[in-house]
Amino acid sequence: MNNDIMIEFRNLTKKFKDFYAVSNINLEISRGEIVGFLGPNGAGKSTTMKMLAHLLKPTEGEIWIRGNGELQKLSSHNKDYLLNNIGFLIENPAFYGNVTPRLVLKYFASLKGYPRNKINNRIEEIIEFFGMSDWIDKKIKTFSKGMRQKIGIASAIIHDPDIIVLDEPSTGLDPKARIEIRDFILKLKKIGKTIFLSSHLLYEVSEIADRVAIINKGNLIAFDTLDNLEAKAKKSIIHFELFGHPEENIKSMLKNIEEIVYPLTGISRDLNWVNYIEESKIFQIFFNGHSENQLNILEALLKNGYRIIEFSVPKAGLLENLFLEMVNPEGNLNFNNNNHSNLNNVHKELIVEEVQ
Amino acid sequence: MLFDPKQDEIIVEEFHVERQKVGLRRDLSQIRDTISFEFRRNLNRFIVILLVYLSFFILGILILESSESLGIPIPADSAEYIKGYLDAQFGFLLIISGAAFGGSIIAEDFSKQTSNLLFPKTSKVNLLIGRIISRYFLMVVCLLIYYLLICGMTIIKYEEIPLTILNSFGWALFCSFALLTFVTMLSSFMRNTSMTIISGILITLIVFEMVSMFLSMSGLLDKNDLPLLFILTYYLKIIPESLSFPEQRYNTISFQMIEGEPIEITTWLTPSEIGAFFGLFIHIGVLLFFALLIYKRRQSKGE
Repeated sequence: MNNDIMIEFRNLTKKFKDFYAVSNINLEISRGEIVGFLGPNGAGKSTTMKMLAHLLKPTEGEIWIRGNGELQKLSSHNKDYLLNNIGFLIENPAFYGNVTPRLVLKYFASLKGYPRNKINNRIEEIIEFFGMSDWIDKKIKTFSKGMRQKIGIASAIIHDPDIIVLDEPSTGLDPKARIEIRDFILKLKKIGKTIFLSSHLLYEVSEIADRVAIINKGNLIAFDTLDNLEAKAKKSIIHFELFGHPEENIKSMLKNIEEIVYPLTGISRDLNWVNYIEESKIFQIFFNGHSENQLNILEALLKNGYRIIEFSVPKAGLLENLFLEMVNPEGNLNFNNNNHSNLNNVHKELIVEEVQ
Repeated sequence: MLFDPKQDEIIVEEFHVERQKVGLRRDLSQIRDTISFEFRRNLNRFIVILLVYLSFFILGILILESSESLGIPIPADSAEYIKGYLDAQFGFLLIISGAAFGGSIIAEDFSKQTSNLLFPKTSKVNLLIGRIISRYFLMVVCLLIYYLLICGMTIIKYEEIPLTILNSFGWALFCSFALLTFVTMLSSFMRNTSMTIISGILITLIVFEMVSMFLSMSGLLDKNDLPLLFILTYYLKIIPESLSFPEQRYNTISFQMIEGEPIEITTWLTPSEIGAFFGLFIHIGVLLFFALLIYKRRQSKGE
């Protein structure tokens, strides 16, 4: 068994009456990494987090957490022991308004068994870490959402856990506060913490996560490193422009191009497509993204007398595109003003292979 | 130091501290910490309730003094004088303080969503025990001050204090705990604190009174060996009556209607000491059991 795995979900499922909030999730989180848990609102992120915090019991499946050097199945009997080493921030942190952050942190630290004689020092460290010294002794009811969020993260780490679970830590915050929270998370990683972070803010996750798990409608649809996911997100669409005006015989021209390039695109015949955008006078060819195939297509087109004045593969490679394609497979995506559900199908295939 | 930006590689182990192990000692510590935290958190509420107690005491003095100035003599017996402070308005005072201290005990965590922060850190049992103890203690302080003030006034008037005031104080403590557990039970399924407080006051002041009035009118009570022991507010009557128990624990009034036989209405003045003890004990046990059961069930629903 891998000694680096800190948390493992095995076929984790949560059903509310007939609705599957989380369905059959398998996930491993290793020591010292940041795993981003992405999904649109209502995808099942918070439900998963709550099951990890034992606030909800799974309908099926298991959660395994490393405790005392070995992975142990989370249950009602050992939850106090296993969750002792985890700091949670579940959804928007709400605090009692008539107390100060210092009092809250002190209370939470003592609840988690932090040594009494060290709590005050620990709070001072946290104050310094989060830059809270100006308002640590003021009543929480006067605080902004960003300040409350900082206290939320501070309360999650006050007892110095090895694993930190943050559910939507930047939701509703202004850009400055988001950057601060992101920096805090990176600092935590730097001191060796394992972080499981859920968010629907793609940019936030792409900035800090080592691996990303994407969940939609309760199903885990991808789990990989950012590099691999970005590679999959590559558009793989050739854009080229011809000299002159091809509108007069565009249909026959498209048919001819299809016959030339389909054997060279590197993808199965039924997923191929070639398209022409009238407004920009650009042709598009969907291919597998390999440069060798790209070169073969260019050579074939030139050989067949096409007078190409521009030929390129625009770099997209953003997590956002992959995310949208996966969570919205029915389309509604606009790739250069064209909807192509077959593109989505290809990506779905790629993801299915990866998850399996 | 937690993090030094100049230091690229940080040895993780150096930050680790030995936390208290989970188990009974941790549970007891959590209860103690919750009590301490709740004292601080409920300080404003305590001050407000204490002011209400003081206001009621001043109101009691004004009523008794104005009666005296109108020529109505004060009771010859000091115990009867004290009863003047502990009659119906004192029951109302207990209900208000029970609702104020108990209303937020569970409902607040769900309405404000503070539960998501708290529950991964401690168990609901520990949280509930700590909160009940702390809030009950604050109620006890209010009660104690109220009784001390009564004692002060009694000494001024009679130069003595009846020892039975200790009985009364004991019953007041017992009854206030029962009221707190009743509101706690309400709080376990109510949506928010305000609703719990309002419902608690309405149920105890109106619903319970209506039920006891209906039972009195129905003529069923004289056949019942355990009268009204299922109505929580009935027990409050023992607080003033324990100063000097009446010879007969009920009053029967006969009404002659225009037609038919006269109607007898039985009104119970106070429960017996043994009945009140076991009745309150059972009430507290059942209410706390249901409060915890609903509290736990509410969590599993993921509210």
